[in-house]
Amino acid sequence: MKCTRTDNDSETRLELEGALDALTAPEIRPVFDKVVSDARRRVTVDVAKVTMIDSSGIGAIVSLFKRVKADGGQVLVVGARDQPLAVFKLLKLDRVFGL
Amino acid sequence: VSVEATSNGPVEPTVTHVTFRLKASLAHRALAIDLVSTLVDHVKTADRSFNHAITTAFGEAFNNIVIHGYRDRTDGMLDVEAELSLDHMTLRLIDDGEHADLSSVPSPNLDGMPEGGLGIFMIRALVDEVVYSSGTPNVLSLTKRT
Repeated sequence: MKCTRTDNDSETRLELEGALDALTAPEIRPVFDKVVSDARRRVTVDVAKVTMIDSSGIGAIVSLFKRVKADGGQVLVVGARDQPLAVFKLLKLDRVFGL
Repeated sequence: VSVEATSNGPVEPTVTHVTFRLKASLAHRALAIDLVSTLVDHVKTADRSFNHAITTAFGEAFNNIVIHGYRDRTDGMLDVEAELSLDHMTLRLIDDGEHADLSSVPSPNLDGMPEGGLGIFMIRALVDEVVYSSGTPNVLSLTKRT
């Protein structure tokens, strides 16, 4: 799993690539933690290159979403397709994440 | 990983059985899912959503066995028996780790956006039949029909 963070003014874009699962989610969480600790208010998570997601990966994104929102910010998830999109829909997260 | 396949017909088998065995480790998760995804290609009436559903359910079951069943163990093995036909797939995941009590797992409140406790819900939602038999070994059977 690769995660590229780009900060542009008040917006932070996180581009994920590969499988976001029980193996890789613990690697990504520190990146998400730093976004929260940096008090970024507008966060976009680009999952267009995520090949597969599981409940652990979902948990990491939901945790980021909740913490940014609790600070008055917003998280959007963009680019979901195939298996990740099916999982977001199954868990009723597609509308919450703006998909 | 070891793989063995048998079928019930020499020319056009109606049911094919494939077994594979691998170390129950998250490092082998992607390989296990790739194997299942390849097997789905032989369920002739399966589409992409079928593939997504059964591989996702299998992945959650795999996680549970590694993380909970074989917690504190590094020597765990997982045997997978796959039964394939024109219109269905059954995966039997066989392990000798700690028993699970699937009936005690509550359904998540999705409106609350839970960060965990989703695996069993996802398995049940994505396949048509879930049968769990605890013992030595534990056997989790997942069946999906097209």
